[in-house]
Amino acid sequence: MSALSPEVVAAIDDLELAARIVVEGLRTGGHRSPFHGYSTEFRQHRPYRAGDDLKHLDWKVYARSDRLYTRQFRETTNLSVMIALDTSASMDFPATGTSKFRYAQIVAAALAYLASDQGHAVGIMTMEGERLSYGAARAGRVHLRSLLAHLDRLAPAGRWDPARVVERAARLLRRRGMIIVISDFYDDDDATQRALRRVAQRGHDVAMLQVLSRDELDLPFTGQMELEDAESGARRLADTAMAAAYQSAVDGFLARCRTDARAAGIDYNLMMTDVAPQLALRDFLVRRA
Amino acid sequence: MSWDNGAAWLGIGFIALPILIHLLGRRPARVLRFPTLRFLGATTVLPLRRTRVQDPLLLAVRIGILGAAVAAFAGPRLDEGGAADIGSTARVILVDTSRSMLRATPTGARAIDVAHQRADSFARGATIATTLDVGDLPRALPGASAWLARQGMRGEVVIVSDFSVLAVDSADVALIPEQFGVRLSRVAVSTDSATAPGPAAAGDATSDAISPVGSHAPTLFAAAGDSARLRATRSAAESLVPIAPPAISDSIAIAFPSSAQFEALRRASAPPRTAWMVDLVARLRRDSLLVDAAWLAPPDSLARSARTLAVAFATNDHVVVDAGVAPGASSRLVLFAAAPPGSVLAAALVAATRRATAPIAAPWEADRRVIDDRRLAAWQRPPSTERPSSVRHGDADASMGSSRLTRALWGLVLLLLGLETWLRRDRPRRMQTLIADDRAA
Repeated sequence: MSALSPEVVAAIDDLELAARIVVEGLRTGGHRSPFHGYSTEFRQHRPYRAGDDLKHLDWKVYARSDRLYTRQFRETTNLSVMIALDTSASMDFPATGTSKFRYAQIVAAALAYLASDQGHAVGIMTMEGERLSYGAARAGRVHLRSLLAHLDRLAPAGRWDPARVVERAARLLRRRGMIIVISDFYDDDDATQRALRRVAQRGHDVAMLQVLSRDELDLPFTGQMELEDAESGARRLADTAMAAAYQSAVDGFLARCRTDARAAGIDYNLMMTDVAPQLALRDFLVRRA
Repeated sequence: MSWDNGAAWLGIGFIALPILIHLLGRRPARVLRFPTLRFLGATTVLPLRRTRVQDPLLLAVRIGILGAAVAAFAGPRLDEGGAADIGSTARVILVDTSRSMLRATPTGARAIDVAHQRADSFARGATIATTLDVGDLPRALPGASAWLARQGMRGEVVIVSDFSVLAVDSADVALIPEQFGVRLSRVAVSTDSATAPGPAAAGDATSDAISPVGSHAPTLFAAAGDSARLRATRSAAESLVPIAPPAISDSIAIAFPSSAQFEALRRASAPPRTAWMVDLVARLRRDSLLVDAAWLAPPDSLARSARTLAVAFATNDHVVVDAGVAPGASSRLVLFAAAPPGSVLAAALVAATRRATAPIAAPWEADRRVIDDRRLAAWQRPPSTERPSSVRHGDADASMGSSRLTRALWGLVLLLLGLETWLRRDRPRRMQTLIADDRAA
């Protein structure tokens, strides 16, 4: 599957178009939907769409009519997906090229598009300053459009409290649903992991999509450089000699994120901004399948 | 190593400029907005902006550029030969070998021999010395100055001569560069003395003699009993040399009919072809005394031949002598006399031969006056204590060597300039981007 480069996708001003391009790329690959329903209460048949779980195919109908239909269950049609997007200042890196935030925006938009297209309710949860900002999970194309428009208006700034966002997102889901957290997860690891575990234990399907830029995996300069924390404004003098220790610390952090997520039964996926969004989401879908 | 323009080294102070620029141009460490500092941990990195210059390699290259340029302006010169310290002296000793130096000194020795002895003494007293025998002193002075300039030390021109009038004058001495000393060593000669007898090399090109043959008596081939008659023979200006045994090395010989070797020599000889032999025979033909003597000589039995020195008169062809080249010695001319030794013709032939082979002095040699001591003293000067700084008599070799070194230094300057340009452009692209990002932010 050929994919547009992340720079090209990120350059598309229209977020909906960008999301659609990503989703179409996923559909071309024939990947299954990441959104699983839980209820077994049969509601109706609907024509099979690419990505539907094959276990819901009604083979009897197929045998009779030679047509594929998917059994829809009550919960399947009412799966609620909340997408929690990190809008903190740390996501605004690097300043040139595809920033983590833009990448996360596109991934969030693509997931929202995919979920909505499959009839699920999708909502968004972010923080703007100290205030939580959200769009409730609803189905339908009109809601999707307003959701994407809201996503498009977001800009990274300040800090965010992932634990608070996840908790709030979970409370907004009246029934078990899916919470997808898209962030770099630089903030308060322990509290974030606790919140995610609690949400998962309540029966929600939780996914961690960690978005990072290649430039932050090592110290991208020579000589001395004063680094300024994008969120706190703190400064620290860094030297090329510290690169090895820095990389080791980053590798350790990523390993912990992965390990903790899996231990809690949370889907974890690392997405690098230099990888095409379609490919990154493909990996995510393959894992969930 | 010496420097043509040592004052240029004052420019070395300009090296402080790039150092100052690098010191003053130090900026605080660049600021980069980074997502998080949590992975940096505690750092012991000190802000080095106050203690270290930026780009030390670039600074070193810039210092190298200025240093090489200053050295090139200073005009380096590699010292050639000998110690370069102040006590070393180079001497060029010019020995006058003109005709007047053949005269006798008051001690009886020839002036030229005394001059050579004195030249040896001067040479021993110098660090480096060269002795030249010159017949024309003014023409030798530029070459002597050039040789001294190449030695890279104090220099002195020494002239050993009788200092005849017009042999050398103040204008010639003034051509010697001022940093070189001038020493004039007079060899006193007797002004009335004739040229002292002594060996003079045949074909001495350094003398002013016109004849290619030095003045010496020909070897006479005659019977032993003819010696008395030869001595008794009337001779206008010359005294006859007693018969000497024939020597291979002698250039001219006269064979008389009474000699036992006469016929053998005559049969074995070849016509003269060498230029000086032909010239000598031509002079003999023009010698008036010989012509007169030949007029008096009876016709003789010598047959005509292509080699014959014939004195042609309107009515009387007399074979006077026959000239040939002795066998085995291509430079030996044999005059075969038709008359017996003791005869007027024989005496005239010997005298004419001596006159023809005697060197003719240059016109100025006729003036036996010498330059007075007071003038000579005014021309002399000691050598300068400074090393010769420039070549004034067209010393191409010395200037070529120093210009090569200067060109090498300028080449180094150009090379370092290229390196400096490359160093300024060589930056990691990512860092440029990040810095641009930082500035934009």
